[in-house]
Amino acid sequence: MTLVKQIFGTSVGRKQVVGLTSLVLCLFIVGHLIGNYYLLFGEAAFDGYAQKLYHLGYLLYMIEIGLVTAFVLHFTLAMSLALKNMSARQSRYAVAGSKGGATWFSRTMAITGTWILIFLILHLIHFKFAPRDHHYELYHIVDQFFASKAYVVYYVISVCCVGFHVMHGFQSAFQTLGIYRDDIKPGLEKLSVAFGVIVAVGYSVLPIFMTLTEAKP
Amino acid sequence: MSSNGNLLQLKLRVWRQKGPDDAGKLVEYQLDDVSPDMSFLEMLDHLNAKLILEGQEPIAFEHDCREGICGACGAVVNGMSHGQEKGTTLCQLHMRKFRNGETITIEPFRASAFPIIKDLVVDRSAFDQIIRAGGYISVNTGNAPDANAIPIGKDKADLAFDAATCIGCGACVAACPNASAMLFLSAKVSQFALLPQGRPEAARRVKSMVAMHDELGFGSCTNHGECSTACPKEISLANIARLNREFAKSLISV
Ligand code: SF4
Ligand code: FES
Repeated sequence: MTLVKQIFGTSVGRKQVVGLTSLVLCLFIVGHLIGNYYLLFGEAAFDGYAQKLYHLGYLLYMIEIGLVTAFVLHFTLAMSLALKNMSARQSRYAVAGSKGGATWFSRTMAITGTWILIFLILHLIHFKFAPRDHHYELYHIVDQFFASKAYVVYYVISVCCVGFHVMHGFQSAFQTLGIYRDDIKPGLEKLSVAFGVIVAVGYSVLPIFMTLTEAKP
Repeated sequence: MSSNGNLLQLKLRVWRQKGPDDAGKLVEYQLDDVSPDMSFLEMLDHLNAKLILEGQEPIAFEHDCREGICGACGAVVNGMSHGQEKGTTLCQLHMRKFRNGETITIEPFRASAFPIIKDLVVDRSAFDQIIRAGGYISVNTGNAPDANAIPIGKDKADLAFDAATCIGCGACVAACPNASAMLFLSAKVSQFALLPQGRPEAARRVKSMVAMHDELGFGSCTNHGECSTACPKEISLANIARLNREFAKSLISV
């Protein structure tokens, strides 16, 4: 078997790619989150930060290509595994029971993952590829977007999905890549949950903050 | 409560399926004289004795040693492989663990790779195929090698021994939300990968066992961890991590 077939043709190979790409995406989530906090420092600071990113030029393109590749691999391989898993048990148990292990987060990975895909595409349309009047920079677009309460709710639900996904996904990536011991399991689990909470809360705070400050006359 | 002293009155809902092609359904039975000292399988024997006297077909279930070491028994009781007790095979589960008046639902292990043969009996020969794909070490003919010729550290020996306690019952597959056999597979890979005798064939072994596992229609592991808590031998998830490491290593060692 060739290496490519070994990796993409086996369940373990595929999930190791899913695990590796997930860590790349986790890095991105953290970087993006930190960048978002420029919003707190007002229009000039945020737009200045955005400009700096644009000026990275080719480096930015390379990062973007890397991220798109990681995301596409992550989603398609994870989905192919999820489909395989569904067909691995065709008859359901009459009584659903558990002796422990699975969590709500681990069971909903495909659902939160699909939501994240849709969210991500819309997110790019809403922000990255938003029609831009040359007077208006990114801050304005963000500000306009979150003027709608419905969008704020949608956004908070979506970033919570990312948080939930990460809660299981982060620790799962380590196990998949073989970095695991029984004694580090509890710590790894806590770290993973903390990471998920930071992501969900960290991303939610900004639009909520913007709405609240906006609401004041 | 009951007129039978401390005997348990139980309502059993048992999966009855005439054969592989039958749709199967849950059938209810009332048992009013279950001794708390009976094992779960003895309780089923007791029910079967009654069914036979009534001219009904007894419930088919697998068993052999009845002392938790052979891996033949197993069913999903109230949604849990081998019942609610941890580290226990179905044959070692006692009826004192159930409440008087309780309803107990008994189903076969469900997985596409474990087709149901009859009632609670499933075909687990897929496990044999995984073993055949590489779950062994090749020993050259000649005299038996000296048992102590290759020294092995106690830490390694213990881990290998723990992995080797897997009895191949299939409860991990039954409990896994993805019907993956990764815990079983990882135990079988680990018991050899940890020992010097298993190293020469390690890369080939993990590759072909994983390929066979996938081909047989088992799901893939997404690290829920249900397998390990359902395992009567409490095989650790660390074995799955080891399998993942062995697999990654096998990709670089051509
Ligand atoms: S790993 Fe545990 S549950 Fe799975 S087959 Fe082995 S003994 Fe049974
Ligand atoms: S009958 Fe042998 S383990 Fe239960």
